[in-house]
Amino acid sequence: MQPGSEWQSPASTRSAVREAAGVMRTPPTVGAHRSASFAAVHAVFQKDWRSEWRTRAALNAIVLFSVAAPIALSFNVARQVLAPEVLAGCLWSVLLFAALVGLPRVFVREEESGTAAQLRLACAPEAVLWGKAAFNLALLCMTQLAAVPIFILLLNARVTQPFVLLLILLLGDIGLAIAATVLGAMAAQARARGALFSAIAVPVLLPLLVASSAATAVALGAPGEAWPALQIVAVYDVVMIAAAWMLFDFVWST
Amino acid sequence: MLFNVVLGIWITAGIVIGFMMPPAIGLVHSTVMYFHVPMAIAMLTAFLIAAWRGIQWLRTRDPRHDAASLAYAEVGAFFGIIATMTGSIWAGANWQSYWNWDAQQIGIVGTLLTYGALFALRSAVDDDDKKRDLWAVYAIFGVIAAIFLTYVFRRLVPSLHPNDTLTKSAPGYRLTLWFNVFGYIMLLVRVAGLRARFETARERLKELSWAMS
Amino acid sequence: MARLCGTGLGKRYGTRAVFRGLNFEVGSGTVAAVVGANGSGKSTLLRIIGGLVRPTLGQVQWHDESGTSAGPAALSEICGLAAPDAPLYRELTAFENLEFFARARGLAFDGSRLGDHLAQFGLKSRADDLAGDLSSGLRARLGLAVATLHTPPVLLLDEPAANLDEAGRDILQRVLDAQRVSGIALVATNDAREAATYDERITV
Repeated sequence: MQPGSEWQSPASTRSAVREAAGVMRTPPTVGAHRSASFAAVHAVFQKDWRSEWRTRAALNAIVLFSVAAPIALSFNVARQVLAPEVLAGCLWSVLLFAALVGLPRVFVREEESGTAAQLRLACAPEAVLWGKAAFNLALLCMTQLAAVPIFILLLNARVTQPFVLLLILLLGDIGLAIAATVLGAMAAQARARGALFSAIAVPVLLPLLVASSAATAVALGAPGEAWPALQIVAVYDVVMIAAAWMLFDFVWST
Repeated sequence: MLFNVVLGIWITAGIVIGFMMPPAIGLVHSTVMYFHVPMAIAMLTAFLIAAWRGIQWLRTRDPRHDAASLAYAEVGAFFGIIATMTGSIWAGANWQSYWNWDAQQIGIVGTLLTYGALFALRSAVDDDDKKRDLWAVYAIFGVIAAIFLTYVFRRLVPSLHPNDTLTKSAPGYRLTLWFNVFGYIMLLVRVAGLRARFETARERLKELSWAMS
Repeated sequence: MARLCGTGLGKRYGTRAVFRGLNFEVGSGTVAAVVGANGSGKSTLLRIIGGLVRPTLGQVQWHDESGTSAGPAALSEICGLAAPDAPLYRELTAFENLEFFARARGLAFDGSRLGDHLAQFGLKSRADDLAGDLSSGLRARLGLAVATLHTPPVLLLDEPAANLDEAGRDILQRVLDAQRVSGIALVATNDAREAATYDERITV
């Protein structure tokens, strides 16, 4: 170990980098010092859940927003009965913005407090992805349990197909959670984390938003079939899960 | 050089033929469609190529793939803006309303938003390798969203886009359209190729200036 | 014998260069001090070795006992890192922090084993206190406990003695002695006297 300086010519730099790249891509013996098992996923989920329950920061933010937004809307609507399409669009806008407020925290908090480095060392990337996605999904479901009924009450919505409504909320939440997890991991590694997350999440979530609104509109009384829109959301979910599975490692690891 | 000349002639021919085509039934100023549609198709092609080059970067870590991905995204975004503007003007002439929120208008706005977010993401990361990794991943997510927005929503939302009218009305419509599509895709490749070379040179210069300092 | 080698390492962020042309080789059973001025890149070097940051130039390789070599991906799995200011989960207790990392790494453990590990760092009595409530010195000890949990072949310590009291420094010494038996330790430090007590030196 001599300390010394050695000027390396650019040509050999690139081959050195490529060589290093070849070595880097060799998968480590997972299980030697890291686990990708369900237990590890559960460990990540439980850690985030515990942390969140003790501070309730994201929870409060999402719930407060989900309650305040329909109140603000209903002031303007003033006892008019809105068309189901409008109500559906409003509902999903509220849910989307609540998600944008609360979901990126799961990664931003790690990067800002410096624990992300320890997480990268100790956890297999798959465990981080699925653990945090599960956490985001749980957060969304819990907050929507309160937010959706409040919305329906305040804005005089009439639910004509409750099963469809539940289904579209579940499918939509899955899409929201998985997209927010991957995109949150990306935004947390950049500057202006929260603002950037909103900027990059909205375009990717737009298909989900439009299709979910269409299905919800039918659930709230619009004429037509909800099935085509539900199909689109289901396909979106599957595609997003597959893409997240394949690409998260590139986002998370160096 | 020869390629440039051929390309120039091709596109000029495409424009001239477009003007010479008979107007479509029920639509005003249908010539603009021979520019609007090829531009939109070229924009999506650009996005697909950008995502593909992003995948190549992730696999090989060769910065030239990343430079190409950036180039295609930039040129594609530009094509998309032109497509949106021409479409909007045409809509105004035909249906007296510049914006109607039909399925394909949602599609193109969403795609442009995705492009914008892609550039915002790139400029927000300092570390070079991380920047390229995140760009590639987001380009892939973005093109997935763009495909959903452009093709999938036609099944959901009624569209003003005259998808059938033109095929039935103007003879030789298909040929002219694909002639122009091919021309504009070649233009895309040419301009993006130049941009990619410029970007590669710039990165190389940065690398060299650091190695020598 | 296991070895950790760095060849031609360099790192820059955009146009700002951190360091260049760094070479080192550390063999098993060694504690090496990483020294350099403030801002010279000691922390960056440790993070590069830990596979957390990609070097702009050069590479790090780990050759284990059997002679197989591995790069950053494997290194980030086997390393233990204790960063300055011990970033840990502040809303979890000391015990819960340890438990999480044990579960994440797939280590077989039970409550008493974790308790014993904490006891080695003098944290047994504070096991159920939130990590955010611990003093900086105790948190530094917890950071050491987390880093050594999986008996890493390579231990990376970034200014570990900064917040430690007398007892804490004894604990640190014991950790380093134990690490000499089984592997390698790299300690980044600004303290010249502390650096002098170690076996080898890497200057950034």
